[in-house]
Amino acid sequence: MNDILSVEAVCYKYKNNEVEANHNISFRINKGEIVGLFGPNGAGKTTLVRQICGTLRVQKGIIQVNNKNISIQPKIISEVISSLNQTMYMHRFLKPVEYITHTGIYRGMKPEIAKKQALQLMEYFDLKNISNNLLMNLSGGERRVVGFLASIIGFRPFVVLDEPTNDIDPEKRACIWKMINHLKNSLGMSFLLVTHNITEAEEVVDRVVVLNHGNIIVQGKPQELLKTNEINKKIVFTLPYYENIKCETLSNLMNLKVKNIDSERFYFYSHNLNVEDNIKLLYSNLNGIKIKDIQIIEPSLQDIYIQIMKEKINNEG
Amino acid sequence: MKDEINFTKMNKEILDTENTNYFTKQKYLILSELSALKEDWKWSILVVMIAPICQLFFLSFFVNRSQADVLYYIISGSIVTSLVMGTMLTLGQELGVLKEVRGFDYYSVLPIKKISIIISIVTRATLSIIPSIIVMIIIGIVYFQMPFSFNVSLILVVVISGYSLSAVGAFIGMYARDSSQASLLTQIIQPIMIYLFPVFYPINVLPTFLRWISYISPTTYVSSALRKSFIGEFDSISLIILSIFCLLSIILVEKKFDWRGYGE
Repeated sequence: MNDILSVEAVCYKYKNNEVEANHNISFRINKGEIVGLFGPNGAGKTTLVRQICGTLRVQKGIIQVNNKNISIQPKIISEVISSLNQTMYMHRFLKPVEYITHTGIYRGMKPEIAKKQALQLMEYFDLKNISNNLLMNLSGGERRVVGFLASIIGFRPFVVLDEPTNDIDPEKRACIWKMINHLKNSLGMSFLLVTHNITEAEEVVDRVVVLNHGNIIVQGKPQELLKTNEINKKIVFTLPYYENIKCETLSNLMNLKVKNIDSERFYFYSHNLNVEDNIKLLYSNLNGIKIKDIQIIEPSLQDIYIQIMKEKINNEG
Repeated sequence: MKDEINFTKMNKEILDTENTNYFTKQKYLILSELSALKEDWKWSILVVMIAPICQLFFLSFFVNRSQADVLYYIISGSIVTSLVMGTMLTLGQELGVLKEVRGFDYYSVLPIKKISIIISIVTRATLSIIPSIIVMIIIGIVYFQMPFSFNVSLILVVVISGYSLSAVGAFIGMYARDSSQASLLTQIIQPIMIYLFPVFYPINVLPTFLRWISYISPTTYVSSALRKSFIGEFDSISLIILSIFCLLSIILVEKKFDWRGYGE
């Protein structure tokens, strides 16, 4: 078995709630794989993460980490998993380097090695300027980066990251995604990424699991999802500004909803199979107006996610 | 951003060394707790000092200050108040806060024992009480002219008392939903343990049923051991019973304190 995590028919119901927070959830994560867990707020993502990390019981079903049932052998959790939680508990009066070092020591690292590596990790993120500040005086984003580094130190084979890039500036966000990819490639570490930042997560995830109302509504590789979910492509075209064409005119000509990016650039969505026909139609309907540029933009993971969620909402009526 | 990190080399460094032992982890857990004391020590000390000292002066108006026995009771009683407030209540409330802020989500994926977290909180709490104990003994000696003979057992009593009271604090933290409920529970338990049991007065003045109940309260033995230590004696029986309470605390926390499902 090559699974680092196996979730089989897992359910969870909070004490005073009538509806299950998670219902019959099943998925696997292979060793060295990065899986994105997406879904709207209240979909049950954090509940599932807390079950995997052992802070909520597995009421029904089985969760196995490295082929060991966590309900029978809970010790396996701390041996294999490290995590960054949504709420991020920290001793407020520690300095960032102390917090990361202490976490490494709790994972079994020698103090001197833990401190050395904590400094190396912090240096990678250019955090020298905050190294002497107390955690309580850091911004939300800085604390999040420190929390991320604490979840990495000790290099556990499986890392669960719940909203790792919340409140973080774009440069450091890019650095986090890069580090995750690097850890996967160099050490074969596996990740479960819970995030709303789908556009950025797309760079690193191998597979996605989408949750809604405690149920898995879709799972698979992004490319597979693109095929099976018939996601529309975006056609962006540029017209000469002096033609002064309005979106409404173009929409009527094309019999499609055409929107504008600015005074020159317009776009419409086309079903995967109709792209060529729609482009031909565009050329023929423009009555000789020259198209300066035309681009076919493949749908992103975010487009797939939005479309899946829209379909789900429509189906639910 | 800096140059690429060599994670393979970093991982090798970890794999090439032995894992840290329990005591090293315990040391760093205590250091984490002490960081709060380092930054907030004035308030931490004041909180556990003001009420017992006020209580000490208040009681001194009603008693015959010339009797050494009476002075031993009110000073040891005030120290017990400080210990109960500082350790038991702090622990109960801290565990309540950890539940509230989902602090156990951080600890549950770390290979550390639950009792280690309790020990670190109690150690910090006990250290914050020491100045209050010293001040009360000085007030007793200088202001009330209490006969006092220093005995090493006093240090032992203070240390063991903190940990023996932790069972009750852990019990509060275990069953309280959050910090506010833990605070309510501690306010119910504190007066019972201090005023209904033989802390400020001898056990023989209590009705029989309370006398029997008081035997299962650590405050009874803390108070007795403190009084004996003031006159230079070593109350071995009380210290043995307090040690049993410590052992029970460890067993209770390890067996019953389940941080899985605390948020249910």
